[in-house]
Amino acid sequence: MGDIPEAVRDSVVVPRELCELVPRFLAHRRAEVDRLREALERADFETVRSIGHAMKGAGAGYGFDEISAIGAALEALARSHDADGALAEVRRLRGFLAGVTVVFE
Amino acid sequence: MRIALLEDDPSQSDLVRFWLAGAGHVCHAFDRARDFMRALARDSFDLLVLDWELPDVNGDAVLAWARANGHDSVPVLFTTARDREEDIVAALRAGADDYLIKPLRRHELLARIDALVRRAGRAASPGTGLKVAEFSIDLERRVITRNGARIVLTQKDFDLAAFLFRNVGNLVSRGHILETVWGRSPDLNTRTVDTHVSRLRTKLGLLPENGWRLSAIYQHGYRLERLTPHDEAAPAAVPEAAAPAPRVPRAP
Repeated sequence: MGDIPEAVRDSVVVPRELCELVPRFLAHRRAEVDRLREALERADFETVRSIGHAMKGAGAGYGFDEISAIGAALEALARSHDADGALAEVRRLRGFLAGVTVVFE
Repeated sequence: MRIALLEDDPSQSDLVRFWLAGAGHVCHAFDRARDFMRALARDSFDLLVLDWELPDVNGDAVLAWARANGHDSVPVLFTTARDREEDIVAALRAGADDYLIKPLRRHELLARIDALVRRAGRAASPGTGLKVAEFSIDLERRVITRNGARIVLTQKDFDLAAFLFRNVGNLVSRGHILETVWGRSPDLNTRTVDTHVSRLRTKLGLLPENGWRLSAIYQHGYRLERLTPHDEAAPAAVPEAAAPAPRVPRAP
C-alpha cells in the first residue's frame, strides 16, 4: 500500500486515557481486513456479518465513528449477500486504517 | 461493585473493563459463555453485563440459565449492537433489567450500572443507612444497632455485616466477600472469611431463635436469610451440606 497523502488522512481525536488501548484496537481492525477478504472469497457472509457487527459496536466507543459506520454497512451488506458492496467497504476500512491519524487529547 | 462481563470482542471488553475499573468497580471478564456460566456456578457478583451475540451460547440463553440457577435477583444489563425494537423487547422479557445499544458511551454505561445496583439494594452509599428488620446500619458513622442497642464491631466485621445485610437472601461467594470487604484477590485464604462470619453470627445473634440464619453453603459461600415462622420450624436448607452445583449447558 502506498503512502497516503497528508491531505486525505483522517484525523480522529481520542481521549488521552485510552492511549494504551487504541493500538490494540487498531491492530484488531487491521487483522480483520484480512479475515474479511478471506471470508468474502469463500462467500462466508455469516463471518462478514459477525465481524461487521462487532466493529459497529466497538468503533465509536473508542472515538472511531467511521469504523462503526463501516461495520454497520458490512453487517447490512452481508445480510443481503452483496459481495461487491462488502468488498468496497473492506477497501474503505483498509484505506481508513492506513491513513488515520490518532490525536490524543 | 463486583461485575461479571461477558463480551467476546476483545476491543469492546478492553474498553468496558477500563471504564469500570476507572469507576472503582472490580470487573471479571469472560469471552465465552460457557466459561462465564462455570464462573456463575461457583461465584457471585453484584451485576452481570451480557453481550448478546457470542460464539458458543447466545446471551439470552445465558441469561435464562443464570435466572434458573440461583442468580434470579442479580441485576443484568444487556449490551448489544442489535438495535431493533423487537430485540430490546426480547431481552427485557427474557429477564434483563436494562439494555444498552452499542456503541457504548462511558458515562451512560456507568450511570445505568449505578441505577441498577441502587434499585437492587446492593449499592454501598456512604451517607445512607440500611434498616433490615431489627438492625439499623449507619454506613457513614459505621455503627450497627439492634433494636436501638449499639453492637461493637471491628472495622472488618462492620464491613462484612453491611455487605451481608445488603445481600439478604442472596448466596454470596467467599471470593465476592473477600474482594468487597478485604479488597484482596479471591485466590487468597478464605478461612479469614469463615472466621469473621462465625464471629459475626455470634455478635449479631444471627440465629434461628432470633429469626435469622447465616448459612455456609458448601463450595459456594454464605447466605444470610430472614426466617419466617415456617422456616424456623424447618431445618436449615443446605448447612455445610453438599449442595449440587448448577449444570452448565453444553454449546450447540
